[in-house]
Amino acid sequence: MKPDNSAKRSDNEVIADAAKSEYRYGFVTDIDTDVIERGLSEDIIRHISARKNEPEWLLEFRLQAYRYWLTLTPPKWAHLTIPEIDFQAISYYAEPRQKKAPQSLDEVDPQLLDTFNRLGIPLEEQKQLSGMAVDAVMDSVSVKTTHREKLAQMGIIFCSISEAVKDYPELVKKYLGSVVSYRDNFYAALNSAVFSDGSFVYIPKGVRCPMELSTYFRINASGTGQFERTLIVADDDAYVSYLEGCTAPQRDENQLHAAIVEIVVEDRAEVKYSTVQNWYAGDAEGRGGVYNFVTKRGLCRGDYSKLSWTQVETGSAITWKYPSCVLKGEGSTGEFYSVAVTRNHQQADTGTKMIHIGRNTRSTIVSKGISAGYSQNAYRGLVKVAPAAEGARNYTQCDSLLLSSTCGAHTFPYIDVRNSSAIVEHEATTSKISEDQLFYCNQRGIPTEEAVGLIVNGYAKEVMNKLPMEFAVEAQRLLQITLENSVG
Amino acid sequence: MSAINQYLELFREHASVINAHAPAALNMRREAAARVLEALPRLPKAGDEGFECVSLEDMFAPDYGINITRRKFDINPAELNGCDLPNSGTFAASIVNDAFVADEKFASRLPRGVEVMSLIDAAAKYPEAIEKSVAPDTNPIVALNTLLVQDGVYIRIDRNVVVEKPIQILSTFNTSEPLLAARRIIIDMLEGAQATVLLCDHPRSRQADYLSCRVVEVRLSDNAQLDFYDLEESTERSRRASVFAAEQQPYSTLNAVGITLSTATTRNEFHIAHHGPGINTNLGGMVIAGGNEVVDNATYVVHSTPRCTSRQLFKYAMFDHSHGAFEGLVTVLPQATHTDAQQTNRNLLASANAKMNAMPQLIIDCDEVKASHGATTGQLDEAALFYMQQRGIPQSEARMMLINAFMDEVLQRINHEPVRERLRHLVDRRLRGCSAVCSNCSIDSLRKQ
Repeated sequence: MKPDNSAKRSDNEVIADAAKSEYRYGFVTDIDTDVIERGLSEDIIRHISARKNEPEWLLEFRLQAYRYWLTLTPPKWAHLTIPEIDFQAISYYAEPRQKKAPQSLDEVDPQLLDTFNRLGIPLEEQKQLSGMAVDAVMDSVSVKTTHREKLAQMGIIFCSISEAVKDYPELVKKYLGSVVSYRDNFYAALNSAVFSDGSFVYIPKGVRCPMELSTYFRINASGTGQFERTLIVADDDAYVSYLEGCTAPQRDENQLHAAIVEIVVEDRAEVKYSTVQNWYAGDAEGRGGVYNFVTKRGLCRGDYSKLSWTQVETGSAITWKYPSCVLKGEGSTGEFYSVAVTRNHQQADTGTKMIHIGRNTRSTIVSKGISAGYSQNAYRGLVKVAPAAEGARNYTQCDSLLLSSTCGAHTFPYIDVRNSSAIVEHEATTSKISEDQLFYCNQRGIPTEEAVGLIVNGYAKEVMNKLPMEFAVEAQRLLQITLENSVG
Repeated sequence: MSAINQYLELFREHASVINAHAPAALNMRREAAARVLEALPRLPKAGDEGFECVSLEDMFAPDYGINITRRKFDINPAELNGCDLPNSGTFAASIVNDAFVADEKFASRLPRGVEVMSLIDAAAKYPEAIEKSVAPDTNPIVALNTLLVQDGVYIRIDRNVVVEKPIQILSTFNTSEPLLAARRIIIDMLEGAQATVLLCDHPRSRQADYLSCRVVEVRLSDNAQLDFYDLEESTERSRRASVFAAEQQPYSTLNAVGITLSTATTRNEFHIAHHGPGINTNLGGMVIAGGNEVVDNATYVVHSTPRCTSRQLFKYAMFDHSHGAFEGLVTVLPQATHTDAQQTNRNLLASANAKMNAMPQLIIDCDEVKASHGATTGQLDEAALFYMQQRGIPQSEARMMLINAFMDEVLQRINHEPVRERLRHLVDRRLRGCSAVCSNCSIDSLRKQ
C-alpha cells in the first residue's frame, strides 16, 4: 500500500516541484517577538527563569548546569567540521509577544496561527478531528496545545513544560534530568541551563493514548537558538505515540538548536517516538542552516517495556544526534529506525546507543544513510551489553547509499560485549544506486530522476513503514523532494 | 609522569651509546621520533579512541631493561633451530632479544636472489633500503621503536625470484631480567618476487617480564606477492606492541595472517597503503585468549588507488577473564574507484567474564565502491552442541570441535600447506590447554627447565 499520491503525478509536476524544491518552510513570520539580549551568564539564566516565573529548585538546576557547562569544551570526536560557535552571540530566549496567555484559539495572534497553518499543522479546532493533539513551539515558547481537555479526561497530561512546572511540579521534579543528566555532555549541559520550553507528556497507568501526540518546533526570530526540552513519562502498561516536526526560516546565519528529549518507560509500557527533522539546511553553497545538536535518550526502566525511535533526518546544516535506549528492565526492547539524507554541504553524524543492562533485553537498529552532493553522512552507534544482561540480543543493519562522487558515507559502530550469552550482530554495506535497477526503470519508461526517487523510497521503506501514517506521507514526499536535482 | 619520559630521558642521556651500537641508517631517524614522542601528552590508554582494551601507557610504564650496549648473550644458534616443519623445512634464523642470530652456514643455504641478514649488515650493503621507512612515523609504537631500535632482520627477495620454502624468523627472549626489545623487520619484495615469511614469537623463559616493541615494514613492488604469517605464543609475563606496515605497488598481493595463542597483553596494528591499481590485500587474524589476557588488533587500510581489493577476517575466541578488541578502519579516498573492500569480525565469548569490543569502521568518500563490514559477537550454537552430544561426543570435545571449525576459516587463508597444518595442530593444542608449541620445539624444552 502506498498512500503517497506523488506516484500519480505527471512528469511536468515532478519537474515543477523540482524547480521549487529548495526549501518550502523558509519563510519568516513577521511577528512581534520579544528577544532578550545576546549572551550567556548567570544573570541571563536568572532572567529567563524569572520571566517564566519558575520555582527556586528549577533555577538552581539551571545554575548548576550552567556552572558545569563552563568547565566543558564542545565535543570534537564526531566526523564533522563544525565552525567555531560563539555562544555569547546567541540570544537564549525569544518569545512571540502577547499580552497574556491565550484562553482560546481566538485570542492567539492570527499571524501566528497562519504560520502554523502554512506549515500544515492543524491548530484549529475543526482540524483536530483528524485525531492528533498538537503542541506548537515557536522560538522559545509553547504557543498552543490542542486537545488538552479530552486527554485530561483520561488522565493524560500533555502540555508545555513550563506549564507542567507550574501545574505538576512534583512530576517534573521527579523526572527532569533523570535520564539525561546535565553532566551528560556539552550540549546537554547548555540545554539544562537555558532550556526554554518544550512538551511534557505523562500517560498514567494502564492508559493507551487514543491519539498521536505531536509537537512542532519552529525557530523564527533571527540571532536566536532554540533549546527545547521534552519529557515523556509512560507509566505501567501505558502506550503513546509521539511525533516531532521541526522547521526554520531560511537565513544566511547559522542557528543553534540544542534540545534534550527524555523518556521514561515503566513496566510493560510502550513509547513510540517519531521525528521528521527538516530544519533549514543552508543553501546550495552551504551558507546558513541550523546546527542540530540534540541529546535524546529513553530509559526503559520497567520490565517488558518498549521504546521505539524512528527518525527521518533531511534538514540541518550539521546534525549531531544519537537517540538512545537504556534497556534496564528485564525483557525490555529498544528500536531505532533511521533515514538520514544529506545533500549539498550538509553534514550528519547520527546513530544510536543501545545500552543493555537487564536480562533478555533486545534491540534492533536499522539505519539508512543517503548522501548526495558534497555532503558527509556518518552512522555512529554503540551497542553495549553489561555483564548482567543475560540473553541480550542485538541486530544492527546500517546501509549507505552514495548518489554522487563527491559525497561521503561513513560507518562507526562500537560494539562492547561483556556477557557471554549475548548475541550481537552488525552488518553494514555501502554502495551507489545500482545501474541495473536504474536501467530496468528506464527501460520501462521511468525517467532517471523518478527512478532514483523510486529506488530510494524502496531503500528507505523499511524505516518509513515504522512511521505513523500522517508522517509517512509527509516523510516520503520530503525524501523525494530533497533528492531531486541531487543525482550526479 | 607519562611512561614516554623514561624512554626520552634514556635517549637524551645515552644517545651516543645507542648510536654507537647501531648503523647510521637507523640513527638518523631517532631525533624526529623523539620529537613525535615529546609532542604527545602521554601514550594512548584503554578507552581512548581506537584503543578499546590495551593501554600502551601501562604497557610501557614499567622500567624494563634495555640492552643498549649490545651485551652479547650466550646463545647457541643451533639450539634455536628446533622448528622443523614437516615435509618442507624452513630457512630459519632468529632474533634473540633484539639481535639477529643465525648459524654460519645460514647464508649459504639460501637460494640465489634471497637475502636474510641483520639490519646492521643490511645498512652497510643496502643503506637506502634501511633509510627509507614505510612505517607511519607519528604512530607512538613506531616512534618508540625508531627511538630505540638497534638491530633486526632484513629480508630481500630479488626480482622474479619465487621462494618455495618459508623463511622463518624465530623471535625469543633470553634473559632472566626484565627486558624491552625494540625489533624491526624489513621485508623488500622486488618486482615479481614471491615468498612466504613465518614469524614465531616465543620467549625462552617465563621468569621475567618482557616487552616486545616490534615494527614490521613490508615493501611490495609490482606484481610481488608476500605471504606473511605471524604466530604469537608467549607467556603470561610478556607483552607485545606491534605495527605491521605495508606499502604495495601495482598488482601486488599481500596475505597477512596474525595468530595470537597466548600472551599477557598484545596490541597488533596493520597499516596498509596502496600505490597503484589492481592491488590485493588480505588480512586475517585469530585470537584465542584465556586467563587475564588482553588482545587487540587494529587495522588501517587506505584505498587510494582504483581497482584494488581488500579482505579482512578477524576471529576471536575469548575464555576466562580475557578481553579482546578489534578496531578496523577502511578508508576509501575519492579517487579510489572500483574499490572492493570487505571486513568481517566474528567473536565467540566462551566465558561469563570475557569481554569483547568491536569497532569495524568505514570512511567512504567515493561512490564507485563496494564496501561492507560485518561484526558479530555470540557463543557456540547450542543446537550444534546438542546434536553432537546426542551422538555420544562429550560436551568438552564437542565445544573444541566447534571452536576449531570456527577458527578454520582463518587458517584457510594460509596458503602454504605445511605451515597451515602445523598451525592447525598448534591451535588444537592451545584449545586443549597445552602450550601451543611444536612437540620438538627446543624453546619449549628449555622453558620447562
